[in-house]
Amino acid sequence: MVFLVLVISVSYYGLSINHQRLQPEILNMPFEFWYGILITAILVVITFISKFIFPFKDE
Amino acid sequence: MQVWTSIFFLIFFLLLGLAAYKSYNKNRSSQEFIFAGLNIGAVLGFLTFAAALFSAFTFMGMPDFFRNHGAGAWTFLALSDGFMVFFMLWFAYRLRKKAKVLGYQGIAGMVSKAYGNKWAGYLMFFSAFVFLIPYVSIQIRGISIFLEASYPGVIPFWGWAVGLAVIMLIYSEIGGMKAIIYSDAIQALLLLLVIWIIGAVCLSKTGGLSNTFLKLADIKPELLHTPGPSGLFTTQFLIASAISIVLIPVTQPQFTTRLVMMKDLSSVHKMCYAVGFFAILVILPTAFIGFYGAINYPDANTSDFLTNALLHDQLPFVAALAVVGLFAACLSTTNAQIFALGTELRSLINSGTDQSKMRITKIALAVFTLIVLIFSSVMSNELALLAKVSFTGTSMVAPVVFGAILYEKPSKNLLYLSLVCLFVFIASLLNLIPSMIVGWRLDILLYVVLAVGFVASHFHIKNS
Repeated sequence: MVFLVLVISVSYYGLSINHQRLQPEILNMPFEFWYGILITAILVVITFISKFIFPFKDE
Repeated sequence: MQVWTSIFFLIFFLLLGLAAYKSYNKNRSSQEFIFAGLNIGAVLGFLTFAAALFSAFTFMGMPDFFRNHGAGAWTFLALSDGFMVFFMLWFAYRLRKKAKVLGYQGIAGMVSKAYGNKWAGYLMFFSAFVFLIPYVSIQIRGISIFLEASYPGVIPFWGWAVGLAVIMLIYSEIGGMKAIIYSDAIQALLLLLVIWIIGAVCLSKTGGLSNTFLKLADIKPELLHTPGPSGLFTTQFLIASAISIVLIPVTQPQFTTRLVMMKDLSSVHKMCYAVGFFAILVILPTAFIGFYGAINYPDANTSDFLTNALLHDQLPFVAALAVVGLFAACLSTTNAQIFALGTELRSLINSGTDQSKMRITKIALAVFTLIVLIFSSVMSNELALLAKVSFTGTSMVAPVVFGAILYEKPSKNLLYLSLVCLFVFIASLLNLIPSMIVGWRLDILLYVVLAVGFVASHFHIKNS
């Protein structure tokens, strides 16, 4: 999961933003806006899944 | 609208009074007063964390950020919050583990014990004090100016500020952390309700989601992508913002305290993804309000835009809810921050009885509130950018906390490293040194220095 989040962050900040890219659009929403929402939602889902596979417990 | 406002304020204050009354216990210890008995479940934990995190800055600063700088504001805050909640899964575990070994009175006190050096605690307190006081002050100033503009000639802005501070002080001094948690729960739910009602109204007035973006593309297409019309959201700015926001729970004491005082790790982890979900829910409507402002009030100043979008363009009862919601949002964040400063100060006091420590904490709360009020009368109005400065400033001491929670005997070099970076950052804010160096933002460079220094310290500890 940590590796996945690292890949997401590198690809997002490195490849997805600051290219003045508007396409593809969803309901006229520009790419950076809906993609940002999607990635945030994916991060929350990853956090949710990670809760169940977190290897440590309270001692 | 004034009748609705009076009704909603009355209900809100009754609920606050009830929270303080329910939480009051004459014979409580200072531990109970400050940590609510260290037994907070997932739901209350999530609501108090969310209320402390999403403040007047979210309610007022974010719509203005979307209006002026466009869609990239989502990456600035919401995406960064997504990274933060994921990181908190691990950080909370390590923090709680160390807190059980050393005992937790506050992050400054814990760091002092971990390093065996009282100056480590003073450094933590100093960074919190220097960057939280202006942040609290700007929020009180922002909401007070907004309320003064909403009710011209009724109460001056300083009157609203004093009222807010006095209410905050009374119920936190009576009820302690437990009252703050209950009131946070009320305020978080109120914030969510109000911001969605206003966001939905703004979205419908701009013709729905699809039409909103068509209109933005006509008026100012630069709003649809980074770096935005004024070029603020560069990749460096967004990465630096993400790092500073991810480190908020590490270095801002109101959040470290909330992570420790929850009853178990499972509750903390539930709280993490709930806060992430809440972030999406709260920030999305601020985008709708901001885009509405970009279409209808592109050249208005911040105060005029917010007064129109949140009040004058809404139905009276919605506008009244907005006033109370804003008041509540400001109250929950500012009391969390001021209470945390009091807690941190207490954690640095090693002598005296429990009662004397509690007395000192209560006096400190009053003094910090007074300082905040004085500051709020002389601050600038850049709410969102000052929030970012606050996040970045406190993040400079993150290596000190990481050293404390990861190592049995952390290297004191981490203290010197953080101290130097903190003062370099403060010097840049005072324009004593440039904030850009050969094309790189200073905060990014400082993060690189802190990271390299931390790795070097790690290998030094491993080899010795």
